[in-house]
Amino acid sequence: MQHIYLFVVLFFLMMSCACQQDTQRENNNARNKQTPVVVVVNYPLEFIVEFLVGPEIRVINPVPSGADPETWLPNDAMIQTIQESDLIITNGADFADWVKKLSLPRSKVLRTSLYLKDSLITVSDFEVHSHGTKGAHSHAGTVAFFWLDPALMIKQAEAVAQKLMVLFPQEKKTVTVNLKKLKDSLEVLKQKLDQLKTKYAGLQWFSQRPVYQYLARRTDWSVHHLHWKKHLSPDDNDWKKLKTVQEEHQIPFMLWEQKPDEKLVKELQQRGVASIVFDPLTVKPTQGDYISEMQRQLNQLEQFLTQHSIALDTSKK
Amino acid sequence: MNGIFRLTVRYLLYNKFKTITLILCVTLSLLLPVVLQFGITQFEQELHFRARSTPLIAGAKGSRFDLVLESIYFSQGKLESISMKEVEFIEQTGYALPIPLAVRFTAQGSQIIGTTLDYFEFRDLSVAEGTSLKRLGDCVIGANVAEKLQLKPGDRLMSDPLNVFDLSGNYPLKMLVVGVLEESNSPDDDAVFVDLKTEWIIAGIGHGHQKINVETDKDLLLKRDPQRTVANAAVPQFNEVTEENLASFHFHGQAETFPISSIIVVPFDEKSEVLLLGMYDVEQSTLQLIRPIVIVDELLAMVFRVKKLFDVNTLLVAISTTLLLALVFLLSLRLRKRERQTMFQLGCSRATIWKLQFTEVLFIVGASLVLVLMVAIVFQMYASQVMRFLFF
Repeated sequence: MQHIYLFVVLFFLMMSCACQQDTQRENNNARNKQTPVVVVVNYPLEFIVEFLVGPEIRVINPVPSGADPETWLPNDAMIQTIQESDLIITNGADFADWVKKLSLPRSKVLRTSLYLKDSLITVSDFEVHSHGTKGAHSHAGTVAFFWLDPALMIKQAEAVAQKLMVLFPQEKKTVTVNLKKLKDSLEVLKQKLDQLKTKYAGLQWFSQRPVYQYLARRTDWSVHHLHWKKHLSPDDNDWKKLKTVQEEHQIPFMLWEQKPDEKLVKELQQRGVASIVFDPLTVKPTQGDYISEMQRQLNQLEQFLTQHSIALDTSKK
Repeated sequence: MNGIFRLTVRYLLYNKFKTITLILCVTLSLLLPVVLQFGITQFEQELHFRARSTPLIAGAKGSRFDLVLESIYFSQGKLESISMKEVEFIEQTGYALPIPLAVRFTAQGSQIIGTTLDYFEFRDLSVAEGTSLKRLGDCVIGANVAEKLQLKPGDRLMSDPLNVFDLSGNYPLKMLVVGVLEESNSPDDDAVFVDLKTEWIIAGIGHGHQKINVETDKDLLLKRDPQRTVANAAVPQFNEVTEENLASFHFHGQAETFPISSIIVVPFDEKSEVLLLGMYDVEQSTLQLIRPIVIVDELLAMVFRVKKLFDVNTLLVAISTTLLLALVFLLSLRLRKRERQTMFQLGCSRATIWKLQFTEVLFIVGASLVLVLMVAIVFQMYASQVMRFLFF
């Protein structure tokens, strides 16, 4: 009889332990699931999501400061964070190497470029290379810097908002209100670009690599890519190419993603090419946010154009 | 009664060869229908379970059976490839979650399945040891593969070349085993799972190699000018993905044109399912979208038709075996006529003598039944593997 009592007591003890473990596990899961996580691949998308959602959603831009978001690759711990997140918002058009090299749950990935399909700019000779037995070939590429055209950024924001509202219906109201505010802010940028378009019609400039196509298309300007390697000084051939294009088009200035070397600026100046930095904002600016920084840069560009009397020159053409 | 048992046992032991032959005859005649029944039940259950848990499958138009068997059981039916564009199309309809499958290569005889992380969630597969897929070159292996090839996380597994005589063909990839799946008693136990992009690397669509720039060895270059550096075929490609060379891996062409074998389509609701089926049920469609359960039922109907033939055969075998046994016993009785007379003269009643004969038959049938039961239990334990080995 004693054995039966002992068995019954043990049975209930084991059951209660199991229940406790289950409850603990559920609590842990619930805690982890309390704050939904959205991972983004670059600063413009981080800006959009942070603008749209409230503090209830955690936005992670996994790229560490100082790293290039186009080529950065995450470590094991970060891969796990990314894979376990609720939503991964990618830019598409091959921006961010890690998207192509990690195993990601397709169901969680939102490719914003899909919503801009008709507006994408493709370049036939994005990358030319050859190996193996198939001979030389070029990689057609799509330019990924959509956010430099505020109209496209609005479309990106709409796509993100739509997905956020489906995934987190409790955020619907916040997202709807914030989307309107974001669109209004981007409209201001659009208007500024329209002003510049009218004032500086037919403007042409150089850029170090293919980055500013969407900005140029928005304003009907022409951009000539020099394909100069980052962190490498241009060689004789690079200068020769610049000279050829310069002779043909009389291009007055060059846009730089980052502040160039002073020596290089002087050399360009001697060839009649002024330099100005226009950060495409793939990483978070040290001051302000996307809107304020873009406004500042557009004002700076306007001032630069005025100072260098470029408006006059272009109108002459 | 004790005496009858003892006498029977002694008689059977004395005539070992005759006893064993009789037991085997009865066992074999009973075993066939029993094993067949077990096998077909197992076959039916397996097919139904997997098919029911897979709502829809999309693939190139052609054999519906091949499409289902390759997508569900990973049999090498050599399906015609479809492109990733189809996956994107289904995704964009917003009606379903498409899970692409690429079933083309093997690694030491085990099927490599290129898919996305969604597959593991869809099939409710969890990792018993190690982690899930992380990056290019990783693989997660099924429990049976781990046991058969004695692999654990951290080990490397080489993919098999499609054709060893094709020097320009795909390069085998040395994959890193990052995890072993928990046993699921399904075809997933016998598979090697890789990311779809890794499968494309095995197929030669993507690869990694040393940097080609102005500093590259002249012997490896075809052309070098200010704009481009073009390497020749001598540039060695990496046959495994490491942290150091991961960045060099790249793909040629647009991802939407890359090949896959089929798509598991998981509709979000019934309405979406119907809409999707309607979209593909047109002549212009290059794809077929099918409900696996329908195909499996068709397959089973065929199996049951074949089973009817087996049943008739079994009946005939059973009758012939019974007649044979009856003949054996009658001949035995005739041979043992003098033995019976002796027993009768010793004072044994006729009834006891018949009881002795009857007990003999019972022993033989009983032993046969025990044997059949043992074989059936063993078969049931391994029925799943046996059926998969035989049919898929």
